[in-house]
Amino acid sequence: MIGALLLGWLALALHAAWAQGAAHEARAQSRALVQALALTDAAWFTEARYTRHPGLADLHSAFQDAPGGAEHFPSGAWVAPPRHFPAAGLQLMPPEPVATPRTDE
Amino acid sequence: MHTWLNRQRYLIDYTLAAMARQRAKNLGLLLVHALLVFALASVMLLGSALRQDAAQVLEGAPDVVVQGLQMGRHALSRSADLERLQGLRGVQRIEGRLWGYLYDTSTAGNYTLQVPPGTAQAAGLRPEPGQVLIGEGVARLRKLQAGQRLFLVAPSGEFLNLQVRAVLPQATAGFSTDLVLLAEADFRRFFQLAPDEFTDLALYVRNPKEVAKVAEKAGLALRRHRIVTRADLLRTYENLFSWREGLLLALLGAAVLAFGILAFDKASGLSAQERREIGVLKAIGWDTRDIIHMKLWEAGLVATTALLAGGLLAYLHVFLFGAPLLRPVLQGWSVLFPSMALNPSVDGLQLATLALLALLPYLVAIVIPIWRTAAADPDAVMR
Amino acid sequence: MIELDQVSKRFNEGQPNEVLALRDVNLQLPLGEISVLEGPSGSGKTTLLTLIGCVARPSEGRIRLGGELVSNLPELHLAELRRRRFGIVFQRFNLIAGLSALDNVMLPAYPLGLPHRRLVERAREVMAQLSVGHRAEARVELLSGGEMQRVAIARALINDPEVLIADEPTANLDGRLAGQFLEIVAALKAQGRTLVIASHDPRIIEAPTVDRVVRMADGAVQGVRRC
Repeated sequence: MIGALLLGWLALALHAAWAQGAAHEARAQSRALVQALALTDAAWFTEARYTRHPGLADLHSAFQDAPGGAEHFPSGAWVAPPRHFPAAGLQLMPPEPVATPRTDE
Repeated sequence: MHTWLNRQRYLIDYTLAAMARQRAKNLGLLLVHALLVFALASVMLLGSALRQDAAQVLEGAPDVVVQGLQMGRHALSRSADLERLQGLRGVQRIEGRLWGYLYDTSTAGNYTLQVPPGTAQAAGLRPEPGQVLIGEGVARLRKLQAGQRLFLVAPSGEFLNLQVRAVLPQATAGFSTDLVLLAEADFRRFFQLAPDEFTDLALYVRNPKEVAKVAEKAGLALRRHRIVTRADLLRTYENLFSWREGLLLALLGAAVLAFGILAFDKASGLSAQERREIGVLKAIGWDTRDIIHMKLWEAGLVATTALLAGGLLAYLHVFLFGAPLLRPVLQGWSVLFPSMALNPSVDGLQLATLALLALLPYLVAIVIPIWRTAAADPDAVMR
Repeated sequence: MIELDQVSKRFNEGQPNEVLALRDVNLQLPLGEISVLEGPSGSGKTTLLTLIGCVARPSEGRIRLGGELVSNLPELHLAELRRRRFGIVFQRFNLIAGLSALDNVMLPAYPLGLPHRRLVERAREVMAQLSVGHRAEARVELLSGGEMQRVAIARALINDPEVLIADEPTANLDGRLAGQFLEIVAALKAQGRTLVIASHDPRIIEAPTVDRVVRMADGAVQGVRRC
């Protein structure tokens, strides 16, 4: 039985090698589209903002759960918070001076 | 060397004969084991495929994305912000991006409406006013083809009646399935955006090595904005289906527990008959090593067969059949889900981890209880 | 010479149900002879047999085989000894169910790692000598009592041991088969092997080929009679 399974795996390896070639073509097309449209995320999970654009998801706004929590949207359980979340330990923006009045437009 | 090989061969022969005596039980064990491997491997392969897709395709994303913030929520950017960044050294090109979400009440689907940039590369994707290009998911959901009309209603009551110029290629479904590409005038009217408002800004840097520096300068220039580099985007997707998070962790924990339970149940209940048999084998000349090797072979054969079978089925499940069993979980509550082929990609490290998980607890749990029996005087074991 | 010097054996040592199965046994059994351990059940003859055959270790005392001290050998060496120098025939044969007669006979030789063909040849040879070669492929559950006994003896002989240990070999056999067993025993002695048999069967005890009878009772040797 193990022999048969190993043969099966050999067939898999061959399939994977062949499929990679086909995949290359599809990926090139997608990459061209992404570049042309300046896209930032895959369109896998269209349930909510932070699952559709996990790379650009909001910080902890009210009534919005962080990605990575298994809650309202099942696909939220698949996606980890982006590394650039302050919660992940990385500084996002340079620290703001406290008493300086805002001069942004 | 030959001696050792022959010895192992005989041990395997004996092990197989011994296992055949309890065919149903061992087959059941094998099936459960294989099922666990199948579940874990399916998730791992799926994750691996999607991760690789993202890593390769999102290389085309903008170098830096600048997002406005107000009170912690995303806020629109202005032309003035764009001008501020124009002067930064190292910046090759800046674009104001126009994109937004629309919840379609008629189908309960979420679309991403977008205006293609004004670059030459996007020329073929820019519709005329009154026209639209849609992703294959939108076409499927609304049952539309090129030439037909798409009706969209905004929450404000704004209404769009657009002709579908084309459906975006199937091969790009993973990244374009919910896209609705409009002309800028249509977009601004629909979302009631002022002419100087943008969703966010895309920044392109001349020298790839300077992206981090330019990002830092942009952050200083626009204090109320958030800076996301392409590296940040890619890192998000690297963590997709990460071991540490949510579903996969739960699955992994359950699987390890199940493996452990299986193994202990198998090993700790050494029946009187098994003990007697070990005693007989020792009395006729087998030593402790032989007994333990035999048990290791037994565990190894079951675990390896389960691993190979489960892994094979997982590969077929994910890459030949598109992971139908995982689809409900992946799709979640999305009404719009890309119809895309998954590209085989095998993460060697993850598979090695899976192999270790499938084999090690089983082997350990088999050998430890047997040690005492195997090492005892045969007389003591046979009584 | 198989020598036992002040050998005692306790079971469940240190526990409330501790049992002294053998007390201060001093015994010398010459090699190349047939010795019978005689006594009622509970007399300790099976225990003594297992000690001689290195299947168990004595709680006290020393056992020597051909002058070599064997009672304190580490487990691996003892297993090696059992494999090469002893062959054991159990009271209820203890053949492994689910295997063929041939596989059962080959079992003791597995750890030696001999080439498969040579091992099979040798096993068939031994089975043929015991007139049970025609049942080589049969599953042991399907063998008759006499066939099982001969397969058990063949298994004990596969590694060409110098000492054969048998525990109540005729307990489950009729007169004809008991007679056959005695013939086999005589043939083995003629080959120069040593046999130590535990039995309370008078057909064995009074057989002409037996050289020595050791009488046992209550875990001690009562007397040794030369025949």
